[in-house]
Amino acid sequence: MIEVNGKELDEHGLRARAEARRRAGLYDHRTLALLERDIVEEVEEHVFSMIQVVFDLQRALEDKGARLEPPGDLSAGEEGKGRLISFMRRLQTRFIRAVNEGYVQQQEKFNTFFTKAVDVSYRQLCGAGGGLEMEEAAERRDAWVSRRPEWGEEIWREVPEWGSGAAVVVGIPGCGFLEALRDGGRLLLALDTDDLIVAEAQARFLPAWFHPRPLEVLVHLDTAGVGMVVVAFPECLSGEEVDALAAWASSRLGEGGVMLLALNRGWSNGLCGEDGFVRYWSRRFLEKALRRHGFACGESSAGGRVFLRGEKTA
Amino acid sequence: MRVHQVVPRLDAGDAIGNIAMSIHQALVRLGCEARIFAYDMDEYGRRFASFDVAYREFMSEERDLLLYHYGLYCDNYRLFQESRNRKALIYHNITPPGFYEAFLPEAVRLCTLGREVLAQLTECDLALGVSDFNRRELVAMGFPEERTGVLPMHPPVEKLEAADEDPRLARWLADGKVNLLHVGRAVPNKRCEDVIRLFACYHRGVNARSRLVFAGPLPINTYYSALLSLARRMGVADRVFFLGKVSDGALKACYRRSHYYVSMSEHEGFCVPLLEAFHFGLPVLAYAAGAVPETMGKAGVLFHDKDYPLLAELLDRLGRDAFLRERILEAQRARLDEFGEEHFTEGIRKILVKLASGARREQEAAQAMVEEIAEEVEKG
Repeated sequence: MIEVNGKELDEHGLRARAEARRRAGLYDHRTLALLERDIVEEVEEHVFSMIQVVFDLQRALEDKGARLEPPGDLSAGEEGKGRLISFMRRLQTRFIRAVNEGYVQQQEKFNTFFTKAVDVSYRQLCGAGGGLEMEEAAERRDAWVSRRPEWGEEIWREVPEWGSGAAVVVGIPGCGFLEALRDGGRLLLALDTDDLIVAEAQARFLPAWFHPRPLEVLVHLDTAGVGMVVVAFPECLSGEEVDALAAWASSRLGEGGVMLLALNRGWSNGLCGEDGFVRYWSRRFLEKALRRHGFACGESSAGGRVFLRGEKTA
Repeated sequence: MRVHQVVPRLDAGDAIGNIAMSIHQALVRLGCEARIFAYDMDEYGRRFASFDVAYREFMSEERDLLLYHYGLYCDNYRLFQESRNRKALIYHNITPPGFYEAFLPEAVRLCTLGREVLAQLTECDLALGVSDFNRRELVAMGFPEERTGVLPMHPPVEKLEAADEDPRLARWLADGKVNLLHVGRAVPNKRCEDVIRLFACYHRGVNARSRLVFAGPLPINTYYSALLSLARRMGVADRVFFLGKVSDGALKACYRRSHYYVSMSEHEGFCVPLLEAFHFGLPVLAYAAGAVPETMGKAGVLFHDKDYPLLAELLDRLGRDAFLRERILEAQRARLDEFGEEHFTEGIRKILVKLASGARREQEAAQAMVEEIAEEVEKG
């Protein structure tokens, strides 16, 4: 029961909307299962406080002028990027080696717990509010995101006709495209690193999720029946991510499955120097990534946009 | 009239400390000679309190009043037991130890001990809960019901209003995302994991342009680590922020720049942040447990089941339905008026009168008994 100002609220409308989102695929089985997971299962035995040590180290680094720069895409995760990792690397060389050599040689477990404790302490001391300015990085990112092209109606009509089976879209080139896929019964999920476009899709009950590192979500996705993966903005992915995405698609798509990479930039864009420019991937690089994971490469075009088309071979 | 308060700690932003300070100010307004004694304190506390050993000097004064704050096990309960002042116990509640079992065995021991000691503090003139929920617990612990009562409360919003909003945090929070806020220590009874679950549903299913902010100390590493792990597993780690203990300026920025206040707590003795959120005009969504329904009164959103997708839809509706939101805020403002300074000071005055008149009645009874004995001796 929900009470608003002491009176029982009629929940029917809310329940209907929640159910509609569930049916649309906005909540997958894994998310729903995690809602039931006991927090006690997340507890690790040996987490101890290193707050003072980390605080001293942070101060020492700042005194020496060491800068823990945030990455352009504001990621702070475990992909080898971000201020946390940068900090951890410095910490590992300074502390863990000393501890290892001096006192507890070859105790991997100790290192794991030590690292975890430092991670927790670092976040406590240097996280949001106590951490570093992220505004510049956020501005760079906004400029980059605003330059992503939105696909037109011709593409909405043509691309859903390609391949077969459900589609996963990485990078949302406008909600119209997603609606066309959904109306054709083909949209499984769309992912983006831009929360604004995702929020717009969610408002239309389209299955779209935000994640700064989409691959982390994809590995947990139930992909039965997937026949097409559309990468709308490959230039927004790092080289490692393009490769990992091709590997993931290869493992999930059956023979004849299609992976589409939009070729948004020509070679001349590589030197454009525009605000928020991230990177340019040459067609050769993208083809190589696809072939390496068992795709035969070709080209398709729709609405004036060229796509690199990888078809899964046996 | 001389009134002493003894607290376990007097720290900036600490709930018990804040209440002790509010009472102190009310006592000063009432013209009392007021002092605070604490077992320990931080920089802020040092400006107002003395260490509790100094209270020994006043313990034998039968005319003095002692207000003893009890909310966790602290050795200074012995001062309360030994004191010959007129005594009132103010009970802030002790978390049931079970909440800590998986996270901090030491806290289990302290909470168990705290509850055991509480049963030894029944020898007092008045026992006050900071809510009726707490008062009922006192009665269940063996305190005579007729000597129990409810302490009026006054959230320290003036202090927050007077603080300069942290400009950096304010800028960060005003970037267009919908901010869900939770204020308080990240401890297991507050069920921060459930706040993360609700946020995960809202973020995943309803509005990706959102973030969750926890403002409050992170005293238990194992619990904090488990919360981070859950947020990571649910794919929202990049949008869940633990600020730790924050300054008044930062807290003000959090309240002013957030859109909703969420409480999933399953055990609260009162929950001051609910009223702070009322003050700053945040619609409050709270799970109905402990003293929370009593504190909310007939204001805000109170839910009895943690149906996360449903609550995520409710958040969405509050964002779209300005009429509903305004009705909630209006009720919250009206509720907050009931905790105003005048009402609080009057409540404190009544408590002092009750304590003092109890003392007078006892003195008069003792005097009458002495006179009666003297008469009998004369006759005999």
